[in-house]
Amino acid sequence: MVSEPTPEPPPPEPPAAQPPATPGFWTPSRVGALALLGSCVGAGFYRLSYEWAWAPVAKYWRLFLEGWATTVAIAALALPLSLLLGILLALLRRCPVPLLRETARLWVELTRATPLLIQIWLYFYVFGQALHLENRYILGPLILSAFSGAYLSEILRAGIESVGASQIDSARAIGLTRFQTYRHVILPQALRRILPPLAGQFVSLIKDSSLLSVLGLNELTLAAQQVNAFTYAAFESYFPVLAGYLVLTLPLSLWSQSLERKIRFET
Amino acid sequence: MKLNFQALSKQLGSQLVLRGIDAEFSPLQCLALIGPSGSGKSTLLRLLAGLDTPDTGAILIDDRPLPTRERALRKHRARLGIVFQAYNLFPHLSALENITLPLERVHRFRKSAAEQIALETLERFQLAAHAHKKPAALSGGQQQRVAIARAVACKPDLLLLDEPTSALDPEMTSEVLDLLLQLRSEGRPMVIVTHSMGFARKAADAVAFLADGQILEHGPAEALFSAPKTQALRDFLDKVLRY
Repeated sequence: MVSEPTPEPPPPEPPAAQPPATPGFWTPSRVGALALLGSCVGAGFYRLSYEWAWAPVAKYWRLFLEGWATTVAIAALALPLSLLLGILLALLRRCPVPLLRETARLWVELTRATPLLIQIWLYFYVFGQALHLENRYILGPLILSAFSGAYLSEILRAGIESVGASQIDSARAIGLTRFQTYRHVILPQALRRILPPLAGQFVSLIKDSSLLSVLGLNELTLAAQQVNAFTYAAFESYFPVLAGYLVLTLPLSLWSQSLERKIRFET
Repeated sequence: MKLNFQALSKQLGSQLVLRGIDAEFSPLQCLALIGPSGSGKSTLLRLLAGLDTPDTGAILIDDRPLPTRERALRKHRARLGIVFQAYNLFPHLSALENITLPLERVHRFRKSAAEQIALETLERFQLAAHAHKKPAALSGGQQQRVAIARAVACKPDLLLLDEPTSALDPEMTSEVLDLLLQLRSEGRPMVIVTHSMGFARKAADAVAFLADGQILEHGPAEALFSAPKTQALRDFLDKVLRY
C-alpha cells in the first residue's frame, strides 16, 4: 500500500525574541518559603487550640500606636547617634595617642562582652543619677547608642582597615590632609563594603530598643505588656509588636540589599 | 632645577635600605633610577616625594632642604606629581573625579575650573572618552595614564614615577611610556624608577644606578649604558638586556 506522502511540516517559526523576564519580588520559591513557614506556625497554633479574642485587645489600639511611635522616635534618635559614636570610637582606636586608643578599646570590649539589660540598669541608675540626667526618653536612646556604637565601631574599623595602604599612599601623594583622606578616600570605600553588617546592626538596634521597656519608656514592647495585663490575651497583645518591629526592620534590610546591588554595579 | 642627596640613610624594620646616598643632579631634567630589586630605588623616591623621612642626611631641591614636619611635607607633596606602580586611582571615583579631587581639595580650584582642567588634561592624553568611567572599567594602561593625568593636572614642579609600567603588559607599557616621552619633550622635570632600560636610555638625561642601598654610578644615560664603570652595573645590564 502506498501511503500518501505526508507533507513536510513547516519549519517552526523562530520564537520572537523576548526580553528576558526580570523576576519580580514574588518568585515561586519565595511564595513557597512563606507558605512553608506559615504552615509550621499555623500547625503550632492549631495544636494549641488557642481561643483568639482580638476584640478586647483592639480597644487599646491607641496604646499600640503611641508605643510604636515612641519606638520609631527612639530609633530615629539612636541610629545617627550610634553611628557618630561608632565613627568616633573607630577613629580613636586608630589614633596615635596610646591612652586614647586603649581606652576606646577597653570600653568597646566591655560593652560587647556584657548584656545590654545590665548596661541599661547600670547607666540609668548610676551615671544617670550622677549626671542628673533623669529624662528617660533622652537617657534611653543614649544608652542604646552607646551599646550599638561599640558594635558599629568594630564594623567600621574592619571597613577602614580593608582600604589598602596603597590608597592611603595615593591620598597622601596628592596632598590630602589626614581628615580629607578619611572624608574622601577611606570612609566612602569602607562604607560601601560594610553596608550589609551596618544595616544588620541597625536592625539589632531597633529590636534592642524593646529592652528599654525595663526603664518604663512607653515604647512598643511596654505597650504590649500593658495591654496584656489589662486583657490577659498574650498572643493578641504581642502579635502587633512583631508586626510593629517588622515594619521597621524589613525595609531597612531590603534597602541595604538593594544599595549593595547598586554599588556592585557602580564599581 | 637642582637636586642634591646628602648622606641619606633610611632603615626599614631591621634592614638598612639606604646607606649613605650622595649625589648631585644639576640641571635635573629626566633622571632615571635603575638597579636590582631591593636596591633602595623606591625608598629613595619615597623620601624625595616626602612620603617618608630619612633617618639621617638631607635632600635639597634648588639648595633648599626638604622639610621634616608632616604639615610642611604635605605642602611639598602638593607641589609634586607622584605616580606609583599600581592602584593609584580611587576606585569609587570616576577618572574625572580622581583628577578633580586634588584640584578642588588641595589646590582650591572651584568645581567648574577643576573640571575644566581635568577634561583638558584627559583630552590631551586621548582619554576624554573615559572621563566618566570608574577605574575598574579601564584597562591597566588607561588607569596609569589617568594617574599620570592626575599627577600633571596641577602643573607640578617635579614629576615622580615609581615603576609606572611594572604592572602592565608590553602593549600598555608602550602606551604609558609614549605619554611620558610626550611630557619629557614638554620639558617637565621628572624622576622615574624604572626597569625599562630602553626608556631610561631614550628619555633620561641622567641615570643613577643603585645597588645595596647606595648609588654606585650616576651620569649621562648614554655614557652609563655604553661604558659602565663598575662591575655591578656591567653584571646588572648584562642580566636585564640578555633577552
